[in-house]
Amino acid sequence: MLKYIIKRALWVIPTLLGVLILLFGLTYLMPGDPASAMLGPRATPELVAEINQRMHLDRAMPVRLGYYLAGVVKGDLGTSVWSGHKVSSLLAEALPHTALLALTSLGIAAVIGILLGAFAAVRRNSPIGGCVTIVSLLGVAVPDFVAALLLMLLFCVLVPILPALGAGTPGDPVDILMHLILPATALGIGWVGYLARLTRESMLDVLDSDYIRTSRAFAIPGKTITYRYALKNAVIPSITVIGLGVGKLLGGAVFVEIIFSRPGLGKLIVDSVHARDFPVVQGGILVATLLFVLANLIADISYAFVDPRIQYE
Amino acid sequence: MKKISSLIVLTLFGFLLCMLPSAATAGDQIKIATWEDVNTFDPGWMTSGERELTIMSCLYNGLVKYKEGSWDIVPDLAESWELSPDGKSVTFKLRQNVQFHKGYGEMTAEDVKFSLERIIDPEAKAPEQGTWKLLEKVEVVDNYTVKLVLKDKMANLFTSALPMNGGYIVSKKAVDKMGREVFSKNPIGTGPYQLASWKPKTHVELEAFDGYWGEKPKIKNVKFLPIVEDSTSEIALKTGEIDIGRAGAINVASFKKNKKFAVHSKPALKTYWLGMTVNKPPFDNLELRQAFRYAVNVDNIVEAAFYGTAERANTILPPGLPDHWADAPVYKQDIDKAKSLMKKAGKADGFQVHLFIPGNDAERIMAEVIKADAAKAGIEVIIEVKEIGAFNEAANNGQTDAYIQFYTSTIDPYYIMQYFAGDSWNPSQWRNAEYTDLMEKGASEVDEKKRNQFYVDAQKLNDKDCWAIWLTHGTMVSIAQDNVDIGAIYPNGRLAPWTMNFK
Amino acid sequence: MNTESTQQTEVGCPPGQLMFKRKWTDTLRVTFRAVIKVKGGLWGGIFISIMLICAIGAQWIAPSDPNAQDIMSRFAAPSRDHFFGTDYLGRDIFSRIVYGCRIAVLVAFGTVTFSSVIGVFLGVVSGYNEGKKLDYFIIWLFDIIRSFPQIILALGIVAVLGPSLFNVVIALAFTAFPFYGRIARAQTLSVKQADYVKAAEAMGLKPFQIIMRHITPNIMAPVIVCLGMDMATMIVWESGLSFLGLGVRPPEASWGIMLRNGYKYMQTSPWMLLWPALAISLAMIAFSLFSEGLRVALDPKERER
Repeated sequence: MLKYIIKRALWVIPTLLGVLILLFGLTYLMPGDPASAMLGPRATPELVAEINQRMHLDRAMPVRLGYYLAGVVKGDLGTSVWSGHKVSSLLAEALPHTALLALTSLGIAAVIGILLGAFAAVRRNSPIGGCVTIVSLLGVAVPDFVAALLLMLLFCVLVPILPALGAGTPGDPVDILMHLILPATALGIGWVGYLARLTRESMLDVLDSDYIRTSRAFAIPGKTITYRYALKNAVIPSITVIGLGVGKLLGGAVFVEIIFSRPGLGKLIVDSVHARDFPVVQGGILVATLLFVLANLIADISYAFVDPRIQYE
Repeated sequence: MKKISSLIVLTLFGFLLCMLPSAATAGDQIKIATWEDVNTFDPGWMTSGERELTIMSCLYNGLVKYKEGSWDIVPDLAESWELSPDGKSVTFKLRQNVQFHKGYGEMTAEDVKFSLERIIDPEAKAPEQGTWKLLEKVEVVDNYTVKLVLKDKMANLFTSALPMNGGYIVSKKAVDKMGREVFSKNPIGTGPYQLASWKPKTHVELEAFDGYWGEKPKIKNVKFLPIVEDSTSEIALKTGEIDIGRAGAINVASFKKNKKFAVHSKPALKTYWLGMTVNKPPFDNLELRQAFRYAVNVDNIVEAAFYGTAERANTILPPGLPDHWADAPVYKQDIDKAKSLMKKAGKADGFQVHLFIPGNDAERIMAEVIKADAAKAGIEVIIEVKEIGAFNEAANNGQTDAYIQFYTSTIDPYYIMQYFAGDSWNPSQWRNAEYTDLMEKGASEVDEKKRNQFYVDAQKLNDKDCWAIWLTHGTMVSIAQDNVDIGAIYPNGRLAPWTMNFK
Repeated sequence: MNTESTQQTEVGCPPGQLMFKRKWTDTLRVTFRAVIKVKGGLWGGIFISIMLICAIGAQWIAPSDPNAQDIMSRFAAPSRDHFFGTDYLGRDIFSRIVYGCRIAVLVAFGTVTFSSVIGVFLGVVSGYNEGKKLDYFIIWLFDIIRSFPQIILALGIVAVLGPSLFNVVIALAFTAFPFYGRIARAQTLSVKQADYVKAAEAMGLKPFQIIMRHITPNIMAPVIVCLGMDMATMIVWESGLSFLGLGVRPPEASWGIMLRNGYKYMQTSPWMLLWPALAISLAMIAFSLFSEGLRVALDPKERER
């Protein structure tokens, strides 16, 4: 298994190299020139030339790729065309907002989803089962950005009780939490149903398994069996799915952050796409990808620990 | 295992809460929505008269300024001035004991010389060069006296050169020390506010400058929030998250009825037009351009995009400016005329037009109406939405067939009209020697009447060559919470934050 | 959910069931019949049929031209003239929703066709050449693309290509094909051990023929299950990209664009937001019920439960 883990971890290196090349290729092909985006209606050819030179835009493609790779290795992602700030510092400012949002929504979804799923499995023919079906259908039917819009319509326009803008005053936890409620709900709603269904199914499997039957035979109280033994095992697939779902969360965060004007990673990327701020787009996608790759790596490795049936190629 | 993981999650959560930077206490703070973030704080290199000028006017002073709420010229950093008899030099007496922000010392004649000469320096290629084309040099007479030497009489000196961003005085010491690049993000002026922090795409925060020479602003802290969507601004107004914002044209009426808000609406000094690229088919043909002009219904376009809050435009200059061409023809939709013009041009069966627009709401709605109108005359309009940078590039390089653009104006007509006599920012690729000549003459003519005639003639040339269909001059709407005294507003809707207060 | 491990455990090729040689059409017919037998699958099928009918027959079903403007009656509330009300240019929202089906269906089928054809082809080639350089190269390619959060990569690609329906399809297909590739490769690894493949090899058939005739038809079951769910995802993402202004061009009636307009005018006329949201939700439910049906139909273990 150790061999598998090392192999899996080493595989990340060529993959990331490919990611960097693809990213570079994307921005290389990006239409228009950043200088005119930067200078707006007052661009002069000299200013444009100056910017092109500073960003190595006047060099040949392989040279630029070289500059880019060398920069990334040194942790230098360039400077924003728009603001002149370091891309790395922009990302450092945006990332906590996104992480907080993703973590909150995932946390809430995991608690609600797993409990709901467990209940539904224990009381097989109770209304809770139907509840899970409805919630999971809702989660599938209402994509995160639609949920965000509907929540905004409900709680900011029709009954304006929750804030709609930004991430709250820094240093004021209550305000920050108030600003988290709607975006986190929008982002988490799809996960509640999904995790509930997953937990229910694996819980059903576990409850039917031999060792649970055996413990029943030993007259261990039903609740202990359910929640101490069965749930513990039934949660495993959910945990791995959560790890792998980071990509989906980051994607959903793009929309939710745009709608609620949260200054997170997703908003940074979309704003920069609109402003054609190449270096920030590149850096933003790179960081999102790094997070995703890392989450995948952890999920794969933990899965290897948890489920010995997995095959190691 | 579950306990451990929930512990980890909780710690992470708390850690993240703490990681968010702690900020200044709000207290005496006013929050103003702007529609986009700023590019630069350097007045000589300003990129947008809409987004950046309000902020710069808080940071800097010029020798003279527009009196708050009007276009009257009043002294600012200069206490008095004297025009030489030949009109080719002006001597300014400067105010004494004016301090720059953040300990950059007293403002002297050297700073004035530096601020203006850095713009006319041919090496620096400042975008404001056009405005100051007729400035020869600046002479320092003594510490508090400075003399502007002109190449010729300069008609726009007091109207759009000195009181605008191109006339703002920056700290020589600061620019020398930081370099222009760093300075543009760390502005040092003499204005009532200094820059506290700038988080790109999130906020620009200004704080009152304790050493300000004039009347101190009543509100200590001004925060500008770039909010791109009108609807976001509306919601933020309603949830009380911003103090001053805007609304989509359709919702202005409902805000007017709402007692919790005060709506301030002014005709904006800008011009939207539907331009046609004249150096390639199909619009290299004058008759087809005219046909297009008859095919579209300008009233309808303006109504659709501005919901009755803006008037249609008939020429490039907004009404109210002295050089506005009041008798400009008002073209009504006339499909038959359009069709007969097309027949004359040999395109009776219609033709295709690629219409380029930036992604803003107003332009998008206009384009959709234009598409429907033009279809009636058999012209197929294909809308190409570009983000603003790509749009400007395509338009300025003449890659469009047609485009919708707007430029902002000052009270001096030269400012907006000279673009169409030059090579850059002339998206229709229109060249007219007569027009260029008129622009040159107008720049150095100080006789109001004669000058007036030059610009009206120039506007007639626009009409004759039909490279643009003038749409509207827009409106500038600011909506304030009822506890906000919005202070003075310039006639084009620009705010003066240092005059604001809470009731 | 585009997670490899869940797909494989959920979908998994049922041993013995599909391991014998089958024709394309057989697989499709059997599958479809089985889906209809599942309760949810039937409803999903009905919904999808309605969408398809709307998409094909939009010009007959929609009461008016989706782009016909009437500035005088804009922001009208739902009424007999306009079932769903009108938008900011006085266009009939019901007609636009109906025409929106066309874009949704085009995107769903377009992306899924592109990505599954390319993905399955590469996956089978890779699986057939297991352990060779080509195999590693293809896996590497898959892994690079799978490293990106999908929608963020699609966003970047559309930013490069420019917003249009075709480019959205290309971008989404580009981000999705490795997932089909992985499934196809894993399936190929087991199928190629089957006797009939060995027999075909012994008969001296060329690798291309073996791939096309003997392997591909027999690995389609899990791919088809994946297709159903993927179509739903693609509809959502098209709407999302259009919502961000990076999707289809504005006059066209895409649900995403309509959502965006609804968002802009949500205070004036909330129904402008609700109708496209409802349309997207219905499409989601339809496709997920249908794909759930597919999953159950193709998995004998599930059918017993």
